[in-house]
Amino acid sequence: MSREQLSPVALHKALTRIWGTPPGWARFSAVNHNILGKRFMVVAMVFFAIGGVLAMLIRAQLATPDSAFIGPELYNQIFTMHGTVMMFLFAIPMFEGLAIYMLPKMLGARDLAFPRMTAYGFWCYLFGGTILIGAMVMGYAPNSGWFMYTPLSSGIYTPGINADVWLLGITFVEISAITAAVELIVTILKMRAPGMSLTRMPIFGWYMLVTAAMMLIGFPPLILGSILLEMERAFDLPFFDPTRGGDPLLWQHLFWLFGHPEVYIIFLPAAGMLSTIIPTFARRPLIAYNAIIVAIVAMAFLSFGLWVHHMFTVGIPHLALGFFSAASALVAIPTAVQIFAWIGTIASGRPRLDVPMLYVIGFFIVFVCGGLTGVMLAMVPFNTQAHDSYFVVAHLHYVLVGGFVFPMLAALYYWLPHFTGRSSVYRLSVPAFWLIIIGFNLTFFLMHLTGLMGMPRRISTYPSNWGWDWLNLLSSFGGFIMTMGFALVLVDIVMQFRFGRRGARNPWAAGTLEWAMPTPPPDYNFAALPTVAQRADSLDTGSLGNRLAAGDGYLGFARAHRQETLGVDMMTGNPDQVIVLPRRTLLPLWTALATAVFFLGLLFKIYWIVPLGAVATVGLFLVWPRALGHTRDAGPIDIGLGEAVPVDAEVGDNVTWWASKVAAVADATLYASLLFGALYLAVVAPGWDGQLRETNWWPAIGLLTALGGSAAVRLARSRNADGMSPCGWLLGTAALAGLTAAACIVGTVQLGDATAHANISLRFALYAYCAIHSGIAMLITAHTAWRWRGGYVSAVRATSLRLSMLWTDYAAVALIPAWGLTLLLARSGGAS
Amino acid sequence: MIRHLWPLLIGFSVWALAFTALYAVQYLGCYLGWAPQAHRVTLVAGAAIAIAVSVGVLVLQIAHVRRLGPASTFMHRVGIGATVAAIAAAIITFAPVLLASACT
Repeated sequence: MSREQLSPVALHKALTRIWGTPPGWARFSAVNHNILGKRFMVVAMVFFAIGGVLAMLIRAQLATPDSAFIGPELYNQIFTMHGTVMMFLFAIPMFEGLAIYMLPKMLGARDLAFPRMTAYGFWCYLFGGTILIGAMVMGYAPNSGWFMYTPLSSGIYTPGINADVWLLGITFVEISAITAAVELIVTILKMRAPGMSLTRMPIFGWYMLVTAAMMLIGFPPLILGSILLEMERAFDLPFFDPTRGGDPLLWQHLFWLFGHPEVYIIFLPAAGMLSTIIPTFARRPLIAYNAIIVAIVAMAFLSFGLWVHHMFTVGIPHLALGFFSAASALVAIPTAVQIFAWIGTIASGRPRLDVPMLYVIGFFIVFVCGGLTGVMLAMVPFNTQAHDSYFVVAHLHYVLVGGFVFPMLAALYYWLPHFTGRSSVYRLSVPAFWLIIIGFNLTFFLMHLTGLMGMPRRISTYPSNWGWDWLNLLSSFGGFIMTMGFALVLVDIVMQFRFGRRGARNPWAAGTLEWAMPTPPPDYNFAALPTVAQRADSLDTGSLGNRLAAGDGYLGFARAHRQETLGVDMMTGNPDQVIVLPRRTLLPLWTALATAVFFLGLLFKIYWIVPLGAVATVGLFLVWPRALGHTRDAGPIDIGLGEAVPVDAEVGDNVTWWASKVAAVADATLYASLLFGALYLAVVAPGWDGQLRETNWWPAIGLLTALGGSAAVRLARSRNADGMSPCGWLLGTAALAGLTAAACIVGTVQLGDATAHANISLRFALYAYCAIHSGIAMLITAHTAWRWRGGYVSAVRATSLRLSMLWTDYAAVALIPAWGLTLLLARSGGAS
Repeated sequence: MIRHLWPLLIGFSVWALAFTALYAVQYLGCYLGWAPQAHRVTLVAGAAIAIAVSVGVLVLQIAHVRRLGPASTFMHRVGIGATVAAIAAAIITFAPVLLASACT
């Protein structure tokens, strides 16, 4: 393997040639995390501005009683889109963008584990968001509230495509959340700097690891709910129709199984930023590091145990109310642990006030108020009184703006010098802060009062004699003050990019690795990868940065025109592989366009085009691995500092393998949500008293062939390990997987009319899920056989075989509960 | 890998499993028409078992750390804190099984 020893400047130029993305049309092919992280953030800010304009329209409408400014139909679209845009198109992508940009730098890596997947996620986000905004501009925006409650959002009460825009657009966008979660987890676990054990990881890494794991578990229930509701709307499968065995409350369960953890998914990255910023300005390490890690783990678990507090008034037994009320109140404790740790860090340090700290103080004031009203709402009697009132609107804005927007503004001002390489222009940031904090409290504090005085949410007008007039007027006034503050922040950012003076590399004297590089950062981040021998948030980044720029570290050279970074042992951080990353390509864009065809076909009910989009998407994904892999075993290669490790393709514990396992967890969560839905309807939903159905045996036949496939793929793996051809057994596995898929499809056909009752439609969904996964197993095993023929698979380079085994086993295991539920559902009645 | 993270996750994993199981038993008991007293006893027994298992896990974790002595890792020590927090969460969130009506 050729390797060049270069001077620092020559090394910079050589690495830029390898990692760089040229200007012009080539930018469409960018896969670099620096570019994509910034793109995510810029697009999220555009959506934030759109959401802000919608908020202003809402406040203009509500400023005076009996207002005729906006009619009720348009108002419904506006408040639905405001919530949807802020939650799905701003908050989540904004922290994803920051994490995509910042995490590899803080961990000491040159990029994320799957750069092309980052790009694909970005395009899905952009196209999905564009569908939503485009529909709004044309007057077809969703209008059933950002939570899309059934039956309001069902076909009978919301005909037309408004609700479909939400269901399909959001599902399209959520692809980016799942892809981001997978690659953040894998990057954090496998691509830290050498020596950075988990215990030395900067605290932001812990926060993002937990957040990404929560995204992996939290988003699939929403995706499943969206798929089921879209199937009801498009094909009349009655999952949520109580007259045919469905239940509208199933939607609420699936939505809030996502929706409440979502609040913490948004808060935890912000808390990670605070835990990074506060020690820098307190000029001392974060106190209670261990307690904070316990607290974020506790929050992650507890946040999945309180979704029903959004449903306290739907009529559920007292015991369930008790479970979820207790959990809702309890989650305040790990939150408070963090708040006290931050206050303690400031109190015991030598704090200095600067613009980021202004927003940190704003966070403390606003978020603590939101947390306290959260504990009030966790109490069932109070919740029953305040439910669906403006008190809840005030609470959620105190939590989300306090817990995300203020920390994000602190982070923006903290890391702006990193993005721009310029120092801040402070003239606007301070008045902007005061406008935002005064405007925010004027707007939303008063909503507590309007709510307690009985003003319900989502009403477009109100009469003038109920005492809400002046409160609403002041709220609207405050809203416009806050908007001026945000406008000033925007101007300030532009000013810094345009007029800021070239500044020092690390203006805050921070101790995390992202400051040990030139700013703005080069495409490759580090000319050489650092060795970390202490906790990586109190490093001497100045001298370290100079050494790394000179190539003094791991991989401090350019080799064979390859994008190389290091993989490490997950616990110890010892280097164990060289990860060769794919270079820029248009494939992610084309794949996202094909995916857009799939979603648009569904949206406009042009169903003949849907399979074309799906086939094109899958086909393009199968092309992705062509640029990767090796056709011979190279053995350990030099990584500098006298060490040598194999390339990733030659080790079992590589990022592809881990990503597949992590993706399987998300997939299994979606399936578990479907199984929950089936059991829930069978146990809780009305209308399940009819005659019994005959047992459908086709899935049982499919289970036998799937188990045969699992055995066959093991034989293939064994032959490959012995240096013999696995092709025959691989093709046999693919054939068995194909038979399994066929058995499941026949099973769905034999079910009869799936629109007649939820019992049948649930089994239809279960068999369809199994058929799709058997199809995936078939494709992957066939693809592995093809790669073996191309020389990309050997006894050492066996990742493809392991993936075949993983997905073949998954398809087989999925059939077991499907078959079990078939037996149960066939005896549950409801099919008359 | 997961083996190394278990000390941190085991306590709350037990809590999550028990929470899910108790919620399911509560609904299934109502659906199957169990006698109220039998339903209550089942739920209380389930909560007690979950808390006992969590305490058992904590005892094992403490014993493991003592056995390792200076060789115990950050993850072991933080794991004890996480399990203590999970036991507290179990006691608080499962307390309603003692009093609240299960089906109305």
